[in-house]
Amino acid sequence: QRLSVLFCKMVLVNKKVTPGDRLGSLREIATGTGTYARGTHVYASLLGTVALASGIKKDDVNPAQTAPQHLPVVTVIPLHEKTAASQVLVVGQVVLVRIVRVNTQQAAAEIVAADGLIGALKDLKSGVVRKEDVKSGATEDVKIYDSFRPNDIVIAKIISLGDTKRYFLSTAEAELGVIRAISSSSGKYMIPVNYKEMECPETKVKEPRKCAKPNDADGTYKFYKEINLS
Amino acid sequence: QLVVNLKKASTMASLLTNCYIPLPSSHVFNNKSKAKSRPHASRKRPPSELRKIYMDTRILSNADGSSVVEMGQTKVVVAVHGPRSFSASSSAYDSELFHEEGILNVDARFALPFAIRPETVAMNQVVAVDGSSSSSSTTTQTPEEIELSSRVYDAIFSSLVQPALNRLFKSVLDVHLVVLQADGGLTSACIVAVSLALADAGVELYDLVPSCSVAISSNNPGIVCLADPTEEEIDDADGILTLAVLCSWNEVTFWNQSGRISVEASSQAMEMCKDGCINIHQCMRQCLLSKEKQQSIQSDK
Repeated sequence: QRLSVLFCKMVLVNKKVTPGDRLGSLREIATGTGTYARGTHVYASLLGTVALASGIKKDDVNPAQTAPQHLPVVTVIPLHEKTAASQVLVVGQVVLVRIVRVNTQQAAAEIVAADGLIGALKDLKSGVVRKEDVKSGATEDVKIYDSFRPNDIVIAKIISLGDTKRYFLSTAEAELGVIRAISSSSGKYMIPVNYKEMECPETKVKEPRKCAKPNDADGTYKFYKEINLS
Repeated sequence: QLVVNLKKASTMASLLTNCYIPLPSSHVFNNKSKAKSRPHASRKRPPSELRKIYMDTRILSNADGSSVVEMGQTKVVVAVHGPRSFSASSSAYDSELFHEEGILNVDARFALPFAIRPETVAMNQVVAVDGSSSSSSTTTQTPEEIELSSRVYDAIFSSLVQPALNRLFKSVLDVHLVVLQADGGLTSACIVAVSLALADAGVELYDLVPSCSVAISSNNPGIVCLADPTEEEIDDADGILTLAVLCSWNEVTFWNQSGRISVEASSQAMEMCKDGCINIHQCMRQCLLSKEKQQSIQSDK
C-alpha cells in the first residue's frame, strides 16, 4: 500500500486535469470527490488539480461500493475553489437566515448563507420555520412572535426541501436559534441572557427570543462570522 | 479500411478575430447547375482540414462559466449560470412544477441581425393575414432556435454526471447560448462551447464533448467528403453529417445526418468525423489547461 501512495504522490498529485482524464486503475486508487469510476479505471470529472484525500469521500456516489480502506483516495480540487454543487442546499445543512415575516403559525425567512460555503449564497432562497419546528418538545404553547421577530439573524437547519417556493427550516436544537437581533427600544444589538430572552446592553430591556447557544472560538457555526450582516 | 489523415488545424496559435466579417450572400439566385459543375471550387483548404479554431473560457465575469468558440467564421458565446433556484432562473418552466433533482436548461439565441443571412431572418418573420409582418418577440424562440437548443441539450446531457446532477436539489443549470455568426458547423460549435462552459462552471462531467461535421457530395469521380464545411459548401453538398462523441468512453452522444448519402459515403464521413472530434478534443483540453496555468500564475503574483 505504501507503494501505491508513493506512486500517486509522484505521478498524480498537483497534476492539472480536465473532465475525462484517466487517473489510474481501480486496483491502485479509490475514487474521491471530483472523480468517478467506470470499468476498471478512475477518471476525473472536474477541471482542477489532483490531490490525495485522507479519508473516504463524504457523499458516496455508490454506497454499495465503499472504497477499500487501504487504497489512497484521489480527489480533484476544482480550479476556482467552487463547484456547481457548492451552491445547492441539502437536507440537514445548517444555514444562516434572516427573518422576513412572522405570523401566528410560521416565520418566513430568506436564506443568506450556508455551512460549508464561503461567503453569501448567490441567489437568496426562501425558507420557513413552522411553529412546531421552533423548539423540541411541547410545541402547542410556542408563540412565534416570542421566538423570532422580523430582521433577526437566525441559525437554522434545513429539514426538508419543501416545495418550489421555500425550504422548511427548524431551530429545534440548543445551538440553533437567534444569534443577532436589534432591540426595539434602543436600536442596538442585543445579548442573549438565556435560551428564551435577549437583553439590550444599554436600556436593559429584555425581549423574548428563541436564542442560540453561543459557541466559543471553535464552535461549529463560525461560518457566519465572515459574512457581513448589514 | 479507409484511413483518413486529418491535419491538425492551427489552433491555439490563432487569435480571436474580434470583428464581424460579412458573410457572402447565399447564391440563391445563381444557376444551381452552374454551381454544381465546378463543385467546391471556392474551398481553399484540403478536404480533410478543419477551419481555424479559437476557444477561450472564463470570458464573462458575472457568469459561473463561459466560453467562446470560433470555427472559421462561425462564432458562438455561451454563459452558464447555476445551479440556481427556479425563481431566479429565466427558464420558461412552469413554476408550479416541483423538481427534486437538478435539470439542465439550454437556451439558444441568434444575435440578429448579424448572425444569419437576411433570407433566413425573413423566413422567420411572421406574416399576418393582411400582409403586415411583425418580427418575433424577443422572449420566444424561433423554431430554428428551439431546434438548436434541443440538439445541444441531447448532445450535452449524457456528459453530465447523473448522480451529481440528481444531487442539485431544486436547481436549474441555465445555459445561455448566443450565436454571433453562423457559417456552417453551427451545431458543432455550439456543443463544443457549451461543454467548455460547463467544465469552466465546475459542473461534474464525464468528459468534454467535441463535435465535428462533414459535408458529403457524391459528384463526378466517387465520393468527396469535406471536413468542417462552410455554409456555402453545405448548400452545394448532397448531405451533411454531424457527430458529437465522448472520447474517453468511445461513445457517440449526438449523430445527425441529413440529405441523400450512400452507405459507403456515410461510413467514410463518419471516420472523418471521429478523427475531427479527437482533434477538437485535444484543442479543448489544451484550452482549459492553458487557462488554468494563466490563472495560477496570476494568483501567485
